[in-house]
Amino acid sequence: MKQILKYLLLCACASLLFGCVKVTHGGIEIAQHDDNATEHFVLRQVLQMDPLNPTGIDIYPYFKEFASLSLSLYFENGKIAYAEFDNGELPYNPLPFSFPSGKIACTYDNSCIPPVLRLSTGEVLAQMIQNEPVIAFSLDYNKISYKYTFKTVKE
Amino acid sequence: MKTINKRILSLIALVVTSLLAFSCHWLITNIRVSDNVKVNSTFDVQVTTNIQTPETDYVSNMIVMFCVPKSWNAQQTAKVTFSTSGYPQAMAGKDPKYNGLTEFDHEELVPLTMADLESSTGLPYSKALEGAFGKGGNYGDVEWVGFKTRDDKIVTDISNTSPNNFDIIIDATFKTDNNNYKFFLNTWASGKTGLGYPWGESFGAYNTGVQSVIVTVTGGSGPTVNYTVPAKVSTVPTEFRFGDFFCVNFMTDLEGAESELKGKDVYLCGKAVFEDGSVAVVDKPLAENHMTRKNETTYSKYILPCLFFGTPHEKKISRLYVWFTDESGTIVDYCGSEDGWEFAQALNE
Repeated sequence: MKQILKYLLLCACASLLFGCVKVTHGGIEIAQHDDNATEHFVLRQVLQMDPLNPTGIDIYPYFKEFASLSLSLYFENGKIAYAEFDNGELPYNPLPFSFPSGKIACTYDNSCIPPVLRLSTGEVLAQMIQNEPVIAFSLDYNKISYKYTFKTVKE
Repeated sequence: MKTINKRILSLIALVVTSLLAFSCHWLITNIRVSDNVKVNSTFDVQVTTNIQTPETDYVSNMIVMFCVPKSWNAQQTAKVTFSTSGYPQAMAGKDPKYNGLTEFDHEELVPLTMADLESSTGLPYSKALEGAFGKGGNYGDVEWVGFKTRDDKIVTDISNTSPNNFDIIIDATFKTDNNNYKFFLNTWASGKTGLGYPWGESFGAYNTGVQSVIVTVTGGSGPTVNYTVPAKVSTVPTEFRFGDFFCVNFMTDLEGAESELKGKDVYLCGKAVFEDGSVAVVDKPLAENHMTRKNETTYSKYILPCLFFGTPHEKKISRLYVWFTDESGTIVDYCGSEDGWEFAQALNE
């Protein structure tokens, strides 16, 4: 009996201590108490790299259209389950495939380096670098490349 | 009196002879360029020089430098030879070792390397020439490329006979790329002795000085890249295609050539010609095409052409022009061309 009581007390203390602490799943922090969290992202930077500017110039400030792009991740049971990508007002598609509208089944794939967000169709939506989604692409000239980095927004 | 006159005359003769002995020239007398220089082909340049030197006991390689567009990679692709005319006659005279020489006939010159250093600066010749002569009057991406005789093929030690000058004829074949160009082709030739003759002295006596001719290359699909005038417009990145983002920079005061738009609010205008023949134009000063003033004379604006013209990204642009206007739309700078400044689109290799 005493042992059972000790055990129950220990569990109660652990619940109080860890109940609302954020843990990381797949590099994205989520609140453990909300198994069905949603993370919304908007663009933080749009880097343009070319041979003379290999580290990239951030062109985000020069186009209001970039603010209209969004990426959302939906969690179920604490794991990434769906992704939603909205290209906003931009006239080109940065992905090598057509992203359907709405939520698409998605998982966090850490079998590759860096880890990626992989859709149920097998295509890669974004790389996960330092807990941030990153989308890399080219548009027209093969010596110019671009990189979207994202930041979370609070609902 | 007669003795004094003779002495004076002898002195004068001595002075004149000395002046003649130490006076010398190496002059570019003619530069001839092939007619109708075309893109993606070769063309010939013939540089005729006349050299006249006193006896120096120096035996020298010859170095020839050209200033040409960097995109040609001419250091690797150009072929240069030299010939002489009048060399045996100029050399024959008092010293028997110079009798019976023959003319040089299209002797090959080899490319200079970074190990070939100009003696007074210690720099590779391309850098030394750039330091001395800049870009040869060009406003754009050019470079000095150099070639030298394989070994001591020219003897600058000429015995004092008359005539004691001869021609050195330099023949160069350059390979163009796909760009239409207009630029100053500069030429310079020098002796380079094994004794390490100082640059300063050899500069005065054993080099031709720089001469240039305008070369125009045509036949390409893009605009003419004109290096003979300052470029009012530049971009970042410098190379792009019309489906990319790029920044247009507009300079309103270049080399004293001042645009009427200097100091005003400036708006970017443009015309896109599409592959299907259709045209889109932006020519009104609106908030969307207002340029940012970076400093007293430079304005900039980032664009993505399809956003700028309100067209689908998939609709391919074949030619793209820009010009600039003020907020009233009445002062317009077309950058020297009635269609405006035309951009060249990079090729995907």
